[in-house]
Parts: sequence; C-alpha cells; structure tokens
Amino acid sequence: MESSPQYLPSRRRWLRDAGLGIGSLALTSLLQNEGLFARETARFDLRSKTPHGGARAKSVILMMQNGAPSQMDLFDPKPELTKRDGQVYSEKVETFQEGSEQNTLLATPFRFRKYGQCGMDFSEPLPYMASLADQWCMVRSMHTDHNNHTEAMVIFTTGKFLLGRPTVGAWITYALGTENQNLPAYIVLRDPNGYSTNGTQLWHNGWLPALYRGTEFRSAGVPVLNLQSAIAQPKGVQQDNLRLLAELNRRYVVRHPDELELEARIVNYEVAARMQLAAGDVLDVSRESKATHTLYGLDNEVTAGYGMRCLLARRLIESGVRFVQIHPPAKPVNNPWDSHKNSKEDIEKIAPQEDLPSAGLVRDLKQRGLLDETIVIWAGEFGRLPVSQHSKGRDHNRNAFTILLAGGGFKAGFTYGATDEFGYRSVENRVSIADFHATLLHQLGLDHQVLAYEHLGRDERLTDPEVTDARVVREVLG
Amino acid sequence: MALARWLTNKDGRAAALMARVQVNRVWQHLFGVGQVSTADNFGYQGAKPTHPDLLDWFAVEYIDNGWRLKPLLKRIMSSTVYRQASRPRDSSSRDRRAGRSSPREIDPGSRFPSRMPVRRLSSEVVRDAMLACSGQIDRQIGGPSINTDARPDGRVVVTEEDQPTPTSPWRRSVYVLSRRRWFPTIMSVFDQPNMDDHCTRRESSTIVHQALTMLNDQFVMECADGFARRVLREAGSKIEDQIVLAFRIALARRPTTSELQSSKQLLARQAERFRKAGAGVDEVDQKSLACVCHVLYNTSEFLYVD
Repeated sequence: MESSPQYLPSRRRWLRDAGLGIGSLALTSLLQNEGLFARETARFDLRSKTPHGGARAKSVILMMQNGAPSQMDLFDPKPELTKRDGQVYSEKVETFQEGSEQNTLLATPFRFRKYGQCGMDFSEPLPYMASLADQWCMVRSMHTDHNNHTEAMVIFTTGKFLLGRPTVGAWITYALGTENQNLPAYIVLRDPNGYSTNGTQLWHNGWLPALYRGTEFRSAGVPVLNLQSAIAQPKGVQQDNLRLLAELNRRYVVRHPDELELEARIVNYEVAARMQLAAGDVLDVSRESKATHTLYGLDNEVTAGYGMRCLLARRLIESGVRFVQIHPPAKPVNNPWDSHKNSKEDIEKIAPQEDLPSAGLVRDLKQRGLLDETIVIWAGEFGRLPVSQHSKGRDHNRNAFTILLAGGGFKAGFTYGATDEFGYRSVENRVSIADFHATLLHQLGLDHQVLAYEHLGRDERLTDPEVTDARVVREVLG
Repeated sequence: MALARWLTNKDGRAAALMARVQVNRVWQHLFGVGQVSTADNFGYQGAKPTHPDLLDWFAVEYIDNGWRLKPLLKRIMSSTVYRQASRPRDSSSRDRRAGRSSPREIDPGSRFPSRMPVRRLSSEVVRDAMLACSGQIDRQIGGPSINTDARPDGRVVVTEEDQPTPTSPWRRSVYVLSRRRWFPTIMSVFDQPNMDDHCTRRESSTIVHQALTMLNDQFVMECADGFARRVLREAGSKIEDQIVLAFRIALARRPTTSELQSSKQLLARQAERFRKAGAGVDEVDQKSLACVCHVLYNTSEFLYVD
C-alpha cells in the first residue's frame, strides 16, 4: 500500500529557494502553521511510501566493521610509507592511546595487488572481496570527527557526535516504510555473543517514534525478542488467551469508536501472530542449496557465524525488509578490526571470518538480480595511523579511511578520492559522513535537505546541511 | 540567579511566556495534547492555542499563586472539562431538532475538548501498573536507583542480584537507572524517550513489539503469575469471585455478564490444559487464573486511561 509522505521543507530552505526576504516571513509562518497542523494530525506508520523521486535503490545492507579496518593495510597502498618504514614522520600525528610516541612510519606487512578489469587495489587478507573488485565502489577519502570507537560509531550511524539522534536506518524507515508488514522494517543482525561498546545505541530511533527503531534479529533460536513465550506453556494456551483478549478489546473499541490507535492495537496482535511465522521462515535456511551454504561459508566454523548473518540479510532483503544492519563478531574483542598491537596478526584474526561471507553476500545478491536495487555498504567508523604503535600496530585515525559500496546505482569497479602519500589524511575529493549520508539517501530517492522531522521546534535532518554543508557525491554514482 | 529573577519577574514579558509554557505543559500532561500542541514551540512558528484566553487566565493565576503547581493541578483536575467522560457525545434530541451538529462531529479528535481524550499509559506507568496489580510493587520513596542488565538474548531487564533489598526489583520505574547504551525492554517498547536529549512531548506509538512484549515477555508473565496468586489469596475459592476481583483490580470495574462467562470458560479450558500437562491441583488453579490476569494486562482498557 502506498501513502504520500508528509515531509516539510525546512523554513530556511523554503526562504532561500524562494528567494524571499524578511517581508515574506509572515506568509511563511502562516504556511508553517498549516504544516504543523497537518503534522499534528499525521499518524506514523510503516506502510511503503513513495520517495521524493529518482530512486535507484530501495533497500540497504550496512555491514558495519567496528574497530576501524586499516586503510593502508587493506585498500590504500602507500609505496612511500613502505619506502620510509622506520623513519620518524615529519608531522606529529594525532593519537588516541599511548604507544605511538616515537612517531615512526610503519610499512604495511601485506602485499597489494590489482584486481578485476578495473585494477582495484586490495591486499592479501581479503582475497574473496578482492575477487569482486569490478562490483565495488571504493571510497578512499572518508574522514570523520572523532577518533574513538564509541563516538565515531555514533557519528557514522547518526551523522553527529551528539547522543540521542536517530540512526540512518531509522531515518530511512521513517521516510520509506517497508514492503513486508509481517517482518520488522529495520533489522539488526548482531553477533549473538555480545554487543559492541555502543550497546543498542547504533539502531536507536532517537527522537523519532519507536516505530522506526531497529529490531535485533537473532540467527539461532527465536529470531525476534519475545516472539515466543518466555515461559513455556502447553500448546493452545496462548491462542485461547488471544480469543478472550479480542473479545475484550472489541468491546473497548465499540465504546471509543473515534480512537484509531485502539483499532491498530487489535491489528498488531494479528501482525504479531503472522510475524511468528514469517520470522521463523526467514531463519529456516535448510532449503537453501549446498552451493549457497558454501558461498556464505556456513560449512566452515571460522566463517559460519558472520556468514549466517550475511545469508539472513539476503533473505530479509528478498522478503522486502528496508534496512538491514550486520555487525561483526563481538568475541573475543568487541571491536574486531581494532589492530593496535600488531597489524598483521590482528587483521589476520578478523579478516578470514568476514572476507568470504561479505563477498558471498554481494555475489548472491548479484546473481539473484537484487544488487541493482540494494545498496551494500562495508565500512568501519574511522581509519588507522601511518605510524607504528607498540612497534607493529596502529592507533586510531579520524582523518582518513576507506569504505566499500556496491549495488544501488553506485559506480562499479570505481575508486574515488585519495589520501596523502602516507595515508594519514584524505586530501583529494574528501567525503564526510554527512556527504556519505546525503548520497545514500539520494540513491533511495530521498532529498537529504527535505527529509525532516520536527524536534524541539527545529526541522531536524539526518545531514543537518546548513551546519555540515553535506553534498551528494555525484561522482560515485553510475 | 539573575536568569531566574528575570524569568519570574511578574511584570516582565519573560514571565508571561514562561507561565504560559508551564501551564501548557501541565495541560498536555493531563489531556495528552497541550492547548498549544507544539509544547516546545510557542509563537509564530508554533501551533495556535485552542483557547488563548483560558491559557492566559491560567498563566496569570499560576503566577498569582506564587508559581506553585499544586493549585494549578487542583484547579484543572476539579474542573468540569477534566471530569468529562471519554465516550463520544452524539447529538441530543434537542440538537437534532435544532439542526445542530453533535460534539462528536464538531470535535472528533477531542481537541477542544468536548470529551476526555483517551490516553495510553506512559512507559514507566505500564510497568508500574502491572507491578501494582500483582501486589508486588515496592512503593519505597527515594534511595539509590535500581540497576539494569543486558541479557545475551537482547532483553534489558532490572537486575535481580545485588539489590539493596529483596523487593527492590519491584520498585517503581522512576527508580530504574537510565543508561546511555541500554534501554529497558518493557519501557523502551512503550516509547520511553532516549535520555540523551530533551523530550517535551512523548510519542505514543502503537507497534507490534508492544503486543509481542505484553504477550511473551518474562517480566509480564511473572507479574501475571503474581497477580493470580494475589487474587487467590484475596478472593477466596469461588471462581466467579476471583474473576470479578481480577477485573476490579486491573480495570477498576466489574466484568459484564458476557465477559464473566467468557473468562470462566477460558479458565476452565486452560485448567484442563495445565492438568493434562501434569500440573498439581494448586498449580492448575494458579496458572489458569494467571491466564485471565495475563489477558487483562493485554487489554487496551488496561493500557489506556479513559
């Protein structure tokens, strides 16, 4: 079902675009009042909504790589860094922890090679992802505002360092609703063994209605929290309870015929019952072919955990879910890409768990014809320093990092932006988190300047364009 | 101090605005929506008040009463407007004869308010109300907050261990610790706002997770068990008396004849199930009555104030 969205352009933009002066303010406030009245009576729902226009994709899979994958060890070869290994760096770098006081440059322990027809650079730890070079759009010029994980993850998911704002998944669900009412619209697949240091902040609705919060979907057992009775009951107990409940609730609706919420509550008990079936179906991968199990690494204990989350992501997207967020392994460390001690050893621990399944997911989406309409994002929250920490590791770096995108109208086999010769700073075609969000919304047919929600008297937007100067990075779009 | 004096200077414009804003917040708290629906945005950019003269009158009285909230609350809550029923009012025969529209036609959303709006309990009160029905609630005032714990399955619950007293886990929700990273399950599904930012008006979402939580969550089911034990203790052995008491506790009214009939039937059917599953006699009584209690928790009538 389609319903028209009720976005209001911001006051400031309206004034600017219309080229109006102060004299027109009275008119603006008049219109604003009508707008607010419309909002006051607006009801929030998850029905599928028409975007502003020009949509290239309709769903998103965010593969979050907490811990900050090292750009100069994985995606961004720096021959000058290798050449000057061990020399003191001319600039005092901004560090987060101790251990980098010597400020000496550290060469990557890995060999780089060019992959695909496009000749995209990848190093040894990610052979499967590298083999998909012609599918990826690699952005090497990312930068962010904070160099610690918890804060930078909040920035990556919500656009700002301030806590309490809605995540990008919540914004997109608010804007577009979802196509399958029997499954949550915004689903989070985390390691069942734990959370990152952010807990559940990374899929919070902030001040948007709770309707738009991400729902954790577990890859074993009962997929959604409280989908089944926490305390076992004989068969049929709940069905009979629901019958009495329906009777009592119908009587209440008759007494309050004008309260639409009460009708919606009755419907929700029916949706809850349907969700039990639909979520169970998504989780049942037994009918997937042997080849698919292998593609996602389900037959290997190293890759099985992350692989299952990747496979579930595909099944959820196939079922019409709008936004799926995958999180990396949380044990033994909850930010697995955080290679402080030893770049080589630390990366070689995490990369094999994720490389094959990440590539498998993109390949599978492609062969099923889903990749065109799905945006896949493979990204950490910041990058790492060119200088050594504790002799062989690298500390946090907010000034440069690399992310990978695929599908959804992004240029395939394309590398964008560049860092300086040591990989310390993004210098060419810099992309901020706000630019990245603006571009993401654009591919979904949403104008980041228009998509707004009024909070404390201000039309809040994901990118806050007046403050961040966010722009759609058209150069990476096909 | 200077700011406080400036804000409360009777003759200043700041005081007039602050009093209106405060009165409007109280009105919003009591009626669900303020006279100015944009409680955080007054003036040209906000919505217009539904009753500007009334708002001003209350604001003046609030200032004259020395900025005390109690007289304000008393004045509003003892008014005819506040004491209205929430059922929609159709035309009276006199209205019809005179060709006048009914209050229901003129004011369907009850913004004026021609009837008392129906309001959903806020998140903390949902939890408190269940605890209160079960008789387990610990009403102690003040003291240290009660800690929460994130469980591997994704639930965030009040910790049972390391609490000051054995009944601390059943204290009112206002004492549950707010943390940045974890949001207690039972409250977050009912729109408890994120504490990192100001919230001047809570949303009242109707989401499927509320149904799932109320049906299946361990806390809710344990409260329903406690509720049933309390009813068994207080109502005696007659099933009819037990059902009547459960309705009176949860919904503050007696069941209708048909509700009583349906509840008795449910109780009998569930008792049969638990008996077949091998439960002992006492357990059968308690568990089957807990089903009725659990249903009552799930009713709209329990979750809404009318």
